Amino acid sequence: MNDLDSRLKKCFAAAFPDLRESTIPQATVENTVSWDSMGGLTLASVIEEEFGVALSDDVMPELRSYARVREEVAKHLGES
Amino acid sequence: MKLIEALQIVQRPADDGVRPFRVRLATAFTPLHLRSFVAAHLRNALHGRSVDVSIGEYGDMVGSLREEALRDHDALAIVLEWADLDPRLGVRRLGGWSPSLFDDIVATSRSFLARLRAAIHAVAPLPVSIALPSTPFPMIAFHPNAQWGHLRAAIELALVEFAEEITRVPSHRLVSRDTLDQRSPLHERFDIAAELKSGYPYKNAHADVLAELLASTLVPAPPRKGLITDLDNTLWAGIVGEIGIPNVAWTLDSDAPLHGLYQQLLSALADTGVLIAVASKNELATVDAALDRPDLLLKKQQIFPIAAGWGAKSEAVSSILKSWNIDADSVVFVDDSPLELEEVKTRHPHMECFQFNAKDVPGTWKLLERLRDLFGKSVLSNEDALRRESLRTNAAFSQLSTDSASSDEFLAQIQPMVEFCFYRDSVDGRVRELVNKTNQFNLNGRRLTDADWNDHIRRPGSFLVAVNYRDKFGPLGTIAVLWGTADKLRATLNGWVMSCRAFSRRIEHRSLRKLFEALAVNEIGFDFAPTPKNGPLQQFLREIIGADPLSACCLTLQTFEQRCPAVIPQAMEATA
Repeated sequence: MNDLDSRLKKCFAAAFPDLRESTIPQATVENTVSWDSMGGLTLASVIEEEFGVALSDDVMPELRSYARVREEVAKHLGES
Repeated sequence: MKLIEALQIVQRPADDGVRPFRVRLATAFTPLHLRSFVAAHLRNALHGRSVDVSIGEYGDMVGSLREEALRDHDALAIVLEWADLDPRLGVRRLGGWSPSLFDDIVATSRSFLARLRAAIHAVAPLPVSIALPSTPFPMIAFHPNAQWGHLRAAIELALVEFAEEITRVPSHRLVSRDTLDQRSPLHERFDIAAELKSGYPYKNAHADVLAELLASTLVPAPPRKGLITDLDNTLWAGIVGEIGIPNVAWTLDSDAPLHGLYQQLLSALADTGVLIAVASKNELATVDAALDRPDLLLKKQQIFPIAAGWGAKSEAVSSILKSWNIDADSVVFVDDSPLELEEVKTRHPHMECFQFNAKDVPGTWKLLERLRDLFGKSVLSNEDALRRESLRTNAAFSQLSTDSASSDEFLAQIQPMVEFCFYRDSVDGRVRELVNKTNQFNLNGRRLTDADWNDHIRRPGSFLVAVNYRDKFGPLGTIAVLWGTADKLRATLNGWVMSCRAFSRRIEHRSLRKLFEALAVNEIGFDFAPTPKNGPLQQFLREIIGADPLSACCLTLQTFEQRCPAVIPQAMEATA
């Protein structure tokens, strides 16, 4: 697990307290009860604080899983 | 605090068995992250107790304050924004910004504030903290940014009148705009993107500061109780033993104005019940005479005790703490000498020590601001005025106690009298204050919120007694509180606190006798729990019960009669 995953998991754990740490990488809007519109805003705000990146309104509707969020954050950070 | 930290604080496991602190966060906007910050800061202020933040319906500020909606809440936090006064002052409604609308906007704002004021008064005595609008005023007026027009002034006036009326009630607190301005720059507060997207107006840094101030006004940190000050180059400029009493100075004319401001602050603190003592390396006679100077702003009678001599400062500080009978962490020490500060700090590591350096003018000004804040109180009580005099008489009391052949003889000499005040339907501020800050004679260390008190009073068979004390040296005010429940034969004390100022007078014995008599019970159980500081209470229970106290110990009337001394204070009863 690299630093990006470690920090991103911390963001997910804070935004969605019902997630267990081991299940975070598999988290999606469908399998996470607290991932509603407010939860999504909280996640975006926490990620902005943690990584200093703003997730644009255009891309937000597409960010419906941990994997997709990770991909977007990595793109902002210039990682793959 | 970052949002992620706030969320982590809120998600920490709660203590089992402790009811969450319930607070209503009343906003007309979506409180989103503000809610998390409020919960986190309140949890910190409540030392980890879990916090439940309820919110009202979107757009219905006044409706969320209905009494039934606030049942079982411990506090109410209201955060106003411009659009609450009139939606045309916000950005989510397009009602027009024409100057022809201004009078109507002012009238609507006044009408809203009047309804809000009535709703707040209706929920008294629930503690309420109110934050006035904190985002930049909208660009509705036609004036250039450098100018306030009549619309802005008229709305500001309406807000100030609202604030003036609200703050007449001691349990209603207003978040300081000055402190908010210092901590959160105006131009970094408003998040226009979030406001338009989700109706949430704040950037996280501003929400954090706003929440911290709301929490600190709802659950204020206990103010420090005493200040020990040096004299030379601190209370005044100059060394009195070298330049003489007439030549020490503290005025603008004598180029020593910071010392005068410091004296003025200490005098004001003394008038609000803060204990002021002097620790000075000087001859006592010199200090005594110097403090008699009639132009001193801090008067000699406002100081107790005065410790002057050539021993270590820490020794003087120790003797002052003994006279006051309070812990070092409730006291602040001020001296000009870094060496003396270090020596005192080493001996009393929990005491806050500050250097008074008159050459550093901004630094000294900040020190005065810091001292004012450390001793700040939301309300003043009658006991604040009594405190210094009762400590002074306690010194005479201790001397008489030492001189008397026996405790019985001593008690007979001081003519002690206690008054028992049974509360039936409400609790006053002094009772709440005493329960929440007494440590040494405290049955279990539990702190109670207003809602806890209301729950207790409504419970069948409950009782709540406040004890007032006076003797020939004068009154001590309300010095003890006992509460619990009783049935036909047995009473259970859920809580019992007594001020350390009232020790050694057998008030505790008289209090138990009063309970046996007034409640007509044969046995009193104690909901006891040891704490790091309640040694005096444990010692009393050990003596009266005849064994080490346990979590559910009890005392029968028969045992009490065998162990209670013959001479105890006289009693009288009052009704709250």
